[in-house]
Amino acid sequence: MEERAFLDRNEFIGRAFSTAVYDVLSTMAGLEPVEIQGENNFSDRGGKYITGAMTLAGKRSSMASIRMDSDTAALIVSYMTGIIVSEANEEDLYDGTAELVNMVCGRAKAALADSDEYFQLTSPFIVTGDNYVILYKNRIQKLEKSFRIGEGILTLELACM
Amino acid sequence: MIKRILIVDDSPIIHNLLRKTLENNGYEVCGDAKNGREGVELFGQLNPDLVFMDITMPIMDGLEAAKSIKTLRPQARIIMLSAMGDEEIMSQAKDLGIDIFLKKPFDDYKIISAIAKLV
Repeated sequence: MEERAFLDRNEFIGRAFSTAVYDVLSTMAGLEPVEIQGENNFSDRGGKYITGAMTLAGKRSSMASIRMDSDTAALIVSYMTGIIVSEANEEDLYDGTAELVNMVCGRAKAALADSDEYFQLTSPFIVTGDNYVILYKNRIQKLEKSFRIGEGILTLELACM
Repeated sequence: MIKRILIVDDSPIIHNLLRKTLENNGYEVCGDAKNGREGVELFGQLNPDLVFMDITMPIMDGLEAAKSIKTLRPQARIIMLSAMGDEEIMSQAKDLGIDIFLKKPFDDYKIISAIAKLV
């Protein structure tokens, strides 16, 4: 029963974040992300990965992150700003990813404002490199959703503590 | 006469995005500031017709900067942009006499419609 309630709650939050990803990318970049079913759909095109993350403080503490490869980040930045993909520099990609996670979390926050899952947000931060994982010290419950954007994949992860 | 607009935001991506939208629609971006303090300084120097102001920025945030600008020129036109649609922040912005509060994400239509209401 308790597990069912937890799953329902996670589904509720997950839906708010999925909708936020879709709304932000379609409004700001004119892209139409397609949600992929199943887990661990990380993009496997090699190269550098960029993660934009924010801490959510509410009834539960969570971390929301968006991870994608640099080519996918460049595509999104290009569609948002008109910069040619090959001319987007690292600074553009980091700033674009930070703005993206900021807007997704802000949108989800607004959607959950009148529910028990209301949360406050910290400033976004970026993690980048060739091969890294984010580990959580405490026992957490993870919710992961992946979206296909062009040839790349964007993965949204919510780690609830 | 072309309307001159000042953009105050710590994100270069948002500057690029707004600049593209504004210039494509016949407005001139007369200045770019990356924090509230720079925004207030540039406002004094450039005397723009309108300011796009982010809220969360280093050194000086958008609410403080808007307050300073409104002190310099009470009739200044300011559109606040933020991903955080907190009622409390929106209420503070309203108290400062902010004309329009836009939540991110935004599209060209939302931006141009907001400007058309003010200038």
